Amino acid sequence: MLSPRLHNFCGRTRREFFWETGAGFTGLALAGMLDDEFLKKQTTGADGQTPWVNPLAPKPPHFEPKAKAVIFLYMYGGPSQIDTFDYKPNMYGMDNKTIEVKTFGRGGHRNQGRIVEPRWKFKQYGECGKWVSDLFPNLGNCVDDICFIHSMAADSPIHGSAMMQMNSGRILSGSPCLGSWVNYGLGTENENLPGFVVMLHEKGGPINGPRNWSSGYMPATYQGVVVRSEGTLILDLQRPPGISDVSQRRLLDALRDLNQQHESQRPGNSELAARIASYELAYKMQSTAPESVDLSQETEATQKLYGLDDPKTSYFGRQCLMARRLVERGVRFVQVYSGGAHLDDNWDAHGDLVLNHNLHAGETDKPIAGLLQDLKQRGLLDQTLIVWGGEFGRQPTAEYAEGTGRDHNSYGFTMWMAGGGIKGGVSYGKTDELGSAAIEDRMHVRRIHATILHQMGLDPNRLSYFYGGLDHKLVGPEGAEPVRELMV
Amino acid sequence: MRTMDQSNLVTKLAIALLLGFPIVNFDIGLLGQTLENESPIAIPSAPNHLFGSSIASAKELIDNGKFDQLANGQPTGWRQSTWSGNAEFRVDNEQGHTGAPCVAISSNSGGDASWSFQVRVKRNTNYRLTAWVKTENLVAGTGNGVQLNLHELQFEGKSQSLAGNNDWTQLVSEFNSGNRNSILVNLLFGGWGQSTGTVWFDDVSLVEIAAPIPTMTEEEAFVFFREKIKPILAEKCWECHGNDPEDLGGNLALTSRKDIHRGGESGAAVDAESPLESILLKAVNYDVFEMPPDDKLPKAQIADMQLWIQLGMPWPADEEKELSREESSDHGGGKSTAVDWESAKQWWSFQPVHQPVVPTVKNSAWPINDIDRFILSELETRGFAPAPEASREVLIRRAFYDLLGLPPTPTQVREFAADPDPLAYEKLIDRLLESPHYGEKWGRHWLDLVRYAESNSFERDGTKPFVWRYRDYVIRSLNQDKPYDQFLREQLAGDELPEVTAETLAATGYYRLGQWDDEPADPEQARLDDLDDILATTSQTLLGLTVNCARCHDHKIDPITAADYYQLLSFFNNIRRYGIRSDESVADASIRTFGVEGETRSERREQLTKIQTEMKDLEAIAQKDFIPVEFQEFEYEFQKIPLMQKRIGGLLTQAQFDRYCELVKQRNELRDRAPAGQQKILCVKENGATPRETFIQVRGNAHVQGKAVSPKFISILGGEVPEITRPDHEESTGHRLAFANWITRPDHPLSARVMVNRIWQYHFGRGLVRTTSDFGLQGASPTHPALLDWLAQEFVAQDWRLKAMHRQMMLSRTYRMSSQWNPQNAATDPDNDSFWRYNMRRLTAEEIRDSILFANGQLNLNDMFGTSIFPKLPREVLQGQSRPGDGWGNSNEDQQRRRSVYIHVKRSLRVPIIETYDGADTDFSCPVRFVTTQPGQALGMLNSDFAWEQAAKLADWSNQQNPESLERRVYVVLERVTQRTPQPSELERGIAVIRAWQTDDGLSAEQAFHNFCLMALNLNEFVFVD
Repeated sequence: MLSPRLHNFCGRTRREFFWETGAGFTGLALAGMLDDEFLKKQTTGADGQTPWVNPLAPKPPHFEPKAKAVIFLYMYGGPSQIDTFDYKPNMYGMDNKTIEVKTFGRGGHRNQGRIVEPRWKFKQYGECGKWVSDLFPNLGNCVDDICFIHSMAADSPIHGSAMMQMNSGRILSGSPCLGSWVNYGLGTENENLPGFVVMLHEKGGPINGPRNWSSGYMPATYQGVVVRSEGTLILDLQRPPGISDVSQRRLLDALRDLNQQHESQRPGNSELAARIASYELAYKMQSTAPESVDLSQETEATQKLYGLDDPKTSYFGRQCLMARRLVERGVRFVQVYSGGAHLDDNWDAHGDLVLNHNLHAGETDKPIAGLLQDLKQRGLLDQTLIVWGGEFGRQPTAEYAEGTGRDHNSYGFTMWMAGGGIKGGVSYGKTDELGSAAIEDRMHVRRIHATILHQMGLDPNRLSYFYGGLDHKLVGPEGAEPVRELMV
Repeated sequence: MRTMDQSNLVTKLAIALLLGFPIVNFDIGLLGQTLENESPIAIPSAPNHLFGSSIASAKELIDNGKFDQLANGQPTGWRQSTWSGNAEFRVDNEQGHTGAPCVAISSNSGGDASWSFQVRVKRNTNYRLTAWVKTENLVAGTGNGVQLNLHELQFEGKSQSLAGNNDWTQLVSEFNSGNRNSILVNLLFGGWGQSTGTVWFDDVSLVEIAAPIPTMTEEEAFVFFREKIKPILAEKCWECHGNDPEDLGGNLALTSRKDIHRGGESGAAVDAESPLESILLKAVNYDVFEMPPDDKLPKAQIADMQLWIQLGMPWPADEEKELSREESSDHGGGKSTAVDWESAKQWWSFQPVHQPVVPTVKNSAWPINDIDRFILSELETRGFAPAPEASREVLIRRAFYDLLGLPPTPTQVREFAADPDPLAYEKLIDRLLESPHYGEKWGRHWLDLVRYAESNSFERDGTKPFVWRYRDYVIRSLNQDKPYDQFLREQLAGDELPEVTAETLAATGYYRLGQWDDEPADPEQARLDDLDDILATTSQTLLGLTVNCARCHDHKIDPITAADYYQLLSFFNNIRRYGIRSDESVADASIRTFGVEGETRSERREQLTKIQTEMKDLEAIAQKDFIPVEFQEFEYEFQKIPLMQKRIGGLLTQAQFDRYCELVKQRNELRDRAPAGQQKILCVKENGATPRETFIQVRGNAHVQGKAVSPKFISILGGEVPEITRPDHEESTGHRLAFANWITRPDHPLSARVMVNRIWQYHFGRGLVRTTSDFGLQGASPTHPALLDWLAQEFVAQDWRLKAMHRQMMLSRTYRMSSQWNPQNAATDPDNDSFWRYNMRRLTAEEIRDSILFANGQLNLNDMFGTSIFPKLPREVLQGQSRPGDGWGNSNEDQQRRRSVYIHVKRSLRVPIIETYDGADTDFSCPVRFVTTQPGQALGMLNSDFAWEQAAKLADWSNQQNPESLERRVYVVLERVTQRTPQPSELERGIAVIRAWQTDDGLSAEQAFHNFCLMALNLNEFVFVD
């Protein structure tokens, strides 16, 4: 029994309601409550017989989207803003000076610190004249397509909770990630591929591990699927050794025959048919998914563009190229991690800043520039939203008495976006003279989430999921407005 | 800021007078309206111009600005700071600006230094800092020479700088204090770098200056409001604080002066006494609150708001809209305005459980017990024919899975089907209820509800020590058929009961199951988040109420106020946090050693010291080339071995490293193993017997305390004040026991209803109330309210025993119905609201894994309890971790074959088969499992190492049955997975595919049969229960 209030307050669909109450996705009840529009979109199992409602079937957006897909280049560990894109000319010559500045990082709260001046020179690039550090000679050439946000702010300067916030909106664990929300809101265009793909660094995953691509309180259907550029592409996608395609097809044919016999004696249980169909889709995925990331189909020029010819850039380059191929094929959300594991295996430069940032920028500069150029050449940049950034930035001052290591900084840091209906060649927001805290157009993580959802055609304040008595949103109970100044 | 041409001003209103004058009461009526509010707004009066005005009468805030108060030769109140380089500080008794002494700083080699003075200031107030300086041979160098600045403001409000040779010159800095109530004044030498030479300072002065408040006519003031203020209110505020009178953020309206003065949950938005301290101003300055939440207002707009408030909020009467509403919730038990309390009081679940009349039915032959009468009466009303009784083959399988989570063997099915005893079914249920595996199945239901997990989440996701004792406690309690009220009392207050045992202590592990941030950015926020997690789980699971929705404001739908939330929280507020950071802190806060101390204790300590000493020696060797960050990382247990490992071949030999690993292992074993006669238990602890004060946290903000509250039960359920008895041991407050006693009262309207509804849900696929954790106004109403009450009173009458309820439900005719389809019934009741048939269900994740292992004879049912097991995980899954394999141990083959309930539940690493088949979420209470169908499940069942290996074992198992032919071998496998006699057509299909693999694909007989077994494990019939 649904009380009228239920509809009024929760705004949840009947389908969500049924998930919660255990009727499941594929209960017969479902067919009766979906509108014709939805039913028309229902695909048929690969066997051409079995009706099948894929939980990831495409859903209409709230409004006309600017972007069809998001590629989130996640600079795990937190790149230093003043060494990358947030140019602070007055900081040069200030090395080792003591400055009074409030900072909060892993080392706790401090009121003053020793300046570590930016360790790279900056040059102006493009028509917009954006100052970019020498860490990014290739990316510098793309600035006219990039919108820099210098005034990012997050709630925690600690990796564990900050990662959760950047990925899922809350500093606690248990909530669905951005990619899961997109998956939930829009479904996938290509049922042969996951809607939310995650690619990890060769050294390992980020801290919190799979929590970073978890669907939290939503069904596991919406969680990120780890796609590898080497070895097994997707967990369990490869047939066991010794079983050929033909043999597996025979297995599935026999399975379907027996399942249909079983089903025919049990009318009115549509979940049985759904499970039959899901096997056919799984079978199809085995052949289509590898093709979708087969980089040998790319020209040598394209491969070079992404730096596949250089051992330093080839790993991340392959991932960027795979990301392009995946979004071309309808994947909604791809997250690629630059850096993995701990400390200097990612951007977490507590020790030697120069060594650390040279390494990670060196691995990623060319591939990212390649990705932007390639998308642009193909006319895909307009509909693909690229997001660059980490869970926070770094302090302008040193963490320790000696050395150049910088501690974490969530008071102000830089992210950038490109394509997908975002203006190019602009910079938004400011940090103070030191680059330590956002002082103008402060942009909380919630707002970049809101902006991303908005570009995907989803209203961040409407996209909600009912769970545990509350209508949850990615942008939290207070909501958040997308930043319209950034949009074309 | 809009400034007015003063020559045009008619000073009709004595609005703004400068500071230094006494604060005067300002009659707001002069603006043209009179507020009903009694308290007039006081604003500082001020002359009518800007900086540069006379400040002769202003109060001097630096009381030793002339450096003439000296103690031990040093000026009192002044501090010397050298920020970098070298500098010499001295008091010069020879000279000064208006007479000696003065102070000086000089440096030959270069320095960055300052004389500093700490001053208390008012917020959002303008100040002027002045000082006279004299310089000699001052070379700015990398610094600025000489400069005045404010430590906290950095860039704002620094004065100009001077260098070279200057006779006494005045430096001036003007600034606004913003959110600060204290400021450090710096007389800087160098400043932002190092300078050389000498500087003298004298006659330092800091005074408040007026905010630039122009004098306006009423008309001008209204224009100012319309042009500057109203747009801000309209665009940035009213969406939440005005548009919807029924849904005001923080219960605050910003649509009239009266509303603003009346305020919301945080009190008056504008402070009439000191407008500059108003919450509204603090909020727009992002001090405590951050409003508007999306983006801070530009500085100019904040300044306009401040001016407007200082002006007394001029607002044309006809543009004000007072939102008529009741007085805002006072948070002292005040009632939510969003909820109609009178009708909410009548809500069914808040009413006492009544003994309902058992209905009479037409078909009196059908019912077996009263449950059936309730169900059939509804079916008869709707004109539905109930589904026929399921066959014995179906019934035994259903009963096995429902009570044990395991399938019967084909032999058991055959024997049961052929049993001539008319009471065979009743006896079967009794037998199953006596099985030790019952607790493993039903324990998992409970573990879902309490979001059981064995690690902490976040960066380290450390393992919770001894948490498995809680899991074992649950399984044992269910197997013992412990009364549910006792079960709850032990978990909520096992340490406060008259008799505390190891068992009741382990039960309180209930409080230690949630996520735990060991490195919180905001410790108080984290503490309250932990308690919220406990309160949410407790209220949803035990009461079926989403009390957690009232953390920031009164519940939007249910009659639960924020005061209710915090009154309930006060029962738990004295609980110690799970730990502070280290393993030792967890041991201190959450672990007790229970039992009689054995004699081995001192021996153990000695042993432990020996091990730790040797470890420290090895660590010292490795630490020789640690960089600073590595020392910090080394504090974390899980970083130690990797950091040591890095030194192999350098500072450490392989042998030393191996020895170190061995020592770690020995130490852990020693630490985790309690002395003989004792056991270590993960449990709750409190901060002594004195309760911690509990406050309403305004808007859920951990740093804004509202009214103090004390323990009180939820107002809609009577709002009684509990009787609290402090336990004799004086280690806790007794609050939790009072809560436990309340929740387990036989006449509690919710506890029994909620639990019988869950039991019904687990047997019939859905609760009588579908939203099993929400019995509030937004939950679903019961489809069979009378039956629910009948079951609830029966439950309490049966001493709250679950097994009695299983018997009642499973012996009913309703439970024995088949899942057969009926198009007539389905036409009007497609969701089976009336229970016209039994709901077919897919197995749970754990049941699927256990059934696979059961089918091939691998399942290790003998090992129950104890530490958790680690099934082998694919490399690809481990690679998702930041340290692949971290926290995932190795279990031997026998252990890996144990039931799924014993698998280690690691928050950041889930076993694929459990995860893809919708295993319970670990961070929130899970009242109902999702049932999804997606291709990832199929890929796992077809291609994973696990599926492939288990299929091979099924093939091995079939060989052990000595099948005399291929047909017979196919037969035993199909019989094993379906628990029924295979049909000839099925056998034929099986044989055909095996032959095709052999003849067409060239597979060996064994390979082909292996494939067949894999197919058998993928059958729908294997994972669905009729």
